[in-house]
Amino acid sequence: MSCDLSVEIAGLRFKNPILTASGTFGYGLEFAPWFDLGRLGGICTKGLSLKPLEGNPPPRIVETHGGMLNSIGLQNIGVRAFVTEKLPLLRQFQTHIIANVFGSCFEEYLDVIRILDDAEGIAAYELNISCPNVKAGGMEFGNDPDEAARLTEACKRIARRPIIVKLSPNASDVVRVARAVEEAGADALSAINTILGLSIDIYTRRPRLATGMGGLSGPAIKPIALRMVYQIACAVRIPVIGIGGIATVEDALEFLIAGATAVQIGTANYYDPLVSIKILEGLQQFCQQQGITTIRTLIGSLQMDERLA
Amino acid sequence: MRDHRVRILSNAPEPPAYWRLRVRLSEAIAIRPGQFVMVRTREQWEPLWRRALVIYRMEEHAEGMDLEFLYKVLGRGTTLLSRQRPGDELEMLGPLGNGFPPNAETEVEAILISGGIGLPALYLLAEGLARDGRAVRLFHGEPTVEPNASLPFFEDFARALGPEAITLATEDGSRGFQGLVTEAVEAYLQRARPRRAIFYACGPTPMLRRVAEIATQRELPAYVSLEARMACGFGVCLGCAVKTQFASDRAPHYRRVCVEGPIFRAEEVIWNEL
Repeated sequence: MSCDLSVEIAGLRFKNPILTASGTFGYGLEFAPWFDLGRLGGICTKGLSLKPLEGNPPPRIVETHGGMLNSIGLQNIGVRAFVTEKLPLLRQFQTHIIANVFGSCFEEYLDVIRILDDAEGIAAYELNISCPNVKAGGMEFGNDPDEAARLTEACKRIARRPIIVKLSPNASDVVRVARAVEEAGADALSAINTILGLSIDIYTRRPRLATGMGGLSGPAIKPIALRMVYQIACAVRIPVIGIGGIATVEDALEFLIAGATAVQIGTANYYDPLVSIKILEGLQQFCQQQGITTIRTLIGSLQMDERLA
Repeated sequence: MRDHRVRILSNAPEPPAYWRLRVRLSEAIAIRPGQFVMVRTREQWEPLWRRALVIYRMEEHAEGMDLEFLYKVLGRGTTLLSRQRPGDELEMLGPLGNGFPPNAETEVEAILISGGIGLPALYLLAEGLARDGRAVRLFHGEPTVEPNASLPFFEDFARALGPEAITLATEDGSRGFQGLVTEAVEAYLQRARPRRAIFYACGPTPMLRRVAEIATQRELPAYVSLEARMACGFGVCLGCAVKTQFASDRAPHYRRVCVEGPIFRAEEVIWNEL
């Protein structure tokens, strides 16, 4: 018997809990030659801004042990080009399109959402308040619970679609930010974005990235992401989407057990464009082997001694 | 473009400082000169990224297709690759990138310029041009080469172009022309004065930049194959961006080496931002 993999987040039914993470999956269409995008639970687009952004100078990426640093700088074609050029093709796939949104200031987040609100084929918005690589990447909102709440509330007031807030692990207390944006009306949370890191060329004694520091992603960050997702899921009532170094079905299962209602696959897409489908198939297989009839019984099923939590 | 599972036929060191890898695909695929693949060993977790390898040579046959690569062992990825044995399998994504454009003009002499590990990017181009009866010359630079060492990859080019069409330049003068490969090209242009010529180049950035300068001075078209750190190789990580200025669009923009490249017209590249 096949397992029911469907989950519900922000009033939306996802056919399965495997989503792809913003910034690692282009505008989705780049992966259409590899597999039917309609098999995914959802797709988070590259972060969209009001105006097109050129991004940071190279070198923009560096490989580290078990991961990588990036400082792409939110390069994107801008929200209008997304709506006219990408969305008409993307919405033909039977999957939820989640538009990742950021702005250089408060008003710009709202402007981007207004433009997307007029378009069809988007399921929800993911607010990026956590990009460490550009000043305008929303970190000022991600670090401060009050600012994060203020932004969430303003977006909620105008948006006709659910709001997912993507949290930063670089905040001094991610749980406080999570609680604040829940209070402000967020429909769901996603966590975590990249962790600020540094890599140095010992011969030139200069950073390996042109911008100095960058965001760490990949398997190296998984235990940190898992811990944060667990802490956040314990602290809020809205669903949490787990992100951070997921490369295998076992990784995805750990996040679900820790309390994530769904997961996003990020950096692993780079070295294996089929990884999200492999994880999806692995999930179905695991549930069958374990006699799990609905994935929902797995979510938040972590047996943690209360004294340890 | 697909994720091919390929079997290693051979993988061994080759003088002066390279490794030659030969793999078998179960089917023939269409490849343009200058295209590359992203490889990893099966079930590899560390290092994280696949490694980009330009397709050096190819051979179709009844069982599918063999591809050859020349690479240098430089870091974790290529060290791991060098430890793979005949019979082992690799995961190979490709072919990727734009490849060299076909050139319809028959009266033009093709001048191929390479430095170090840039050479393998030019073999399929050289072979194709020679097959079409075009005039082709190769200039290749190395820092140093042992005087009597055999250079198998040179024999490959010599078979395709004839040994007289090849100039080897070494910085220390240990073999061939003494000096930089771009100096050897300039000396040739002074001497032979080809009526019309086109440059195709792959090698270190300073070499490519010099090729671009010579092309501008002499008003010759030039194509360069660029290299950049790549996490994916198929256009989504945006890590390999280089600043370019296309004729169709005068404003400078970042372009992806993996999709819009790796081959660019030299005048499109904004060299001081590489």
